[in-house]
Amino acid sequence: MLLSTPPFAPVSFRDADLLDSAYYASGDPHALWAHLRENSPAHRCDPGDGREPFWVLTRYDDVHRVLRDHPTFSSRRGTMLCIIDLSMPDIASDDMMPDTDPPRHRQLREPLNRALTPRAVAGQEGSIRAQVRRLLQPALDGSVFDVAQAALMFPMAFTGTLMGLPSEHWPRMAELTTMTVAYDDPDYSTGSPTATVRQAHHELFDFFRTEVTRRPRTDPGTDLIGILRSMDLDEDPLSERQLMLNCYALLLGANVTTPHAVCTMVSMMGEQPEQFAKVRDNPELRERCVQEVLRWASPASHFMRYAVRDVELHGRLIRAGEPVSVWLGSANRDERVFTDPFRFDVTRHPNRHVAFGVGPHYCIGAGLATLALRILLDELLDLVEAVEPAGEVAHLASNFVAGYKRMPMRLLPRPGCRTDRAEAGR
Amino acid sequence: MHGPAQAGTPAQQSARPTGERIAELYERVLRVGDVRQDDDFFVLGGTSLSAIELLDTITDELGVRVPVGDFYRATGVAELADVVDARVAERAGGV
Repeated sequence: MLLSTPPFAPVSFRDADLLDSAYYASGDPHALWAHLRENSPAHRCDPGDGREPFWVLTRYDDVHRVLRDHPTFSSRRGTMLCIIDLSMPDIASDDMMPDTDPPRHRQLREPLNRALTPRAVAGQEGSIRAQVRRLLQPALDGSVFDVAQAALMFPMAFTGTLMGLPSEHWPRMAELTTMTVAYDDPDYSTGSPTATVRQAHHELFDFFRTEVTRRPRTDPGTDLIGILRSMDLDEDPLSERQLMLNCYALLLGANVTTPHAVCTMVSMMGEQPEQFAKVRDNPELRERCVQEVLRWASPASHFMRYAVRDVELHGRLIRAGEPVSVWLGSANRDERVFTDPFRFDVTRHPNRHVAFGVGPHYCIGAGLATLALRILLDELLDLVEAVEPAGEVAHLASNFVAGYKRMPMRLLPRPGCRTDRAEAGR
Repeated sequence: MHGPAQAGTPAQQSARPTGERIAELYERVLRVGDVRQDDDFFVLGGTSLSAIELLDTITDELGVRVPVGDFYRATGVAELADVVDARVAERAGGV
């Protein structure tokens, strides 16, 4: 998705655009979101073709409220607009962590969370640094490097390691997770959008079933799948189906989002080198820079909830049972909250972005993703002097992920930087 | 074919056309009745999870492993029967 800045051309849109994956590949969603924030903060979107109408909330305060107020806005019927786009009911209600409400949600989340706190993932630093060097290594000879393609394997590698997934399956799994969110993208679709999503789910569930079977409940091991295997839900072990669904949720959360923060970091280094020079000279800015990259990228564009009761918002009535989408990428550019929101600013503070969501479903991998992006930043500043575009950028067709498919770049090594250092990290 | 197709001994079963056996497997996996040759697995309520069960069952009962991608291009009973028959023929041809 294009990360555009004002001045925006006057916006014309049809409600169906908000579902249409192609709009996110070639349209200007940031212009549309700015328009909606100003003119229609509670927008009822009717695709007009028999698909279910849904609400679109674009202001920061409303996004915050909906994601925190889980008794009013439930996750149980699914949390992504693909359900409405493809008219496919969610099959994971109450069984997959993102599709549960508290207190059931807590039972699934707590055991996994213990393994994913910032302190717990700090132990992964060495292995993530090795992955970062492996990612950047092919770029350091100055040849054209497709950041988007390389970045797809980055979260797969460190999440695959934490989950204990065999590395020979990583490339296919990374492709399959992208298919589930880019089902309309000609580079990922296998035919019809629904068939693409189903085939991707099927193959992923098949992989996970094998992994679950490999880990007997009596000796499940300590990786994330082992933790799922040994936990209880309402005093029973998870069923095979619940295990497959939650493995899927963990991998999807990492794989479809992180690559686009990586791309954003590299491309902003090319666009605004003076900001990154400042970060290089002031190490205390590094954490802030990572947070600003996350705000700027906002890889997960929206989440969806279903209203449990009637709610009035901005003079409109959201009725019980209606789907409500909240737009993180829009909230992160809300003029009401962020000073000069369309300026990328590595010194921004405070920076209360919602790129990881907010409330009970706050991204469980946020600590891991932040650490990985911080290590990537360190290595980029260390190894790369400048970044130059080397071809046309292509955006992913997805109404869920603000993403890239191709980002050809030339990374110019820093003088005196020994590229063999990267080799040594392998 | 001899006589109306019926569930019977394994020998009789394997003599029945593949389409009928696939229809029966759809009924079993989806717990529905009266599946016809032009019915589609997903229109009948199938999901990616029940599809895994279906392909496992086809492997167990018909001795053919249907590749996932082939299945998603042929989710109707008659279409899937053609895929299964083609796999059987391929194998018989020594490929």
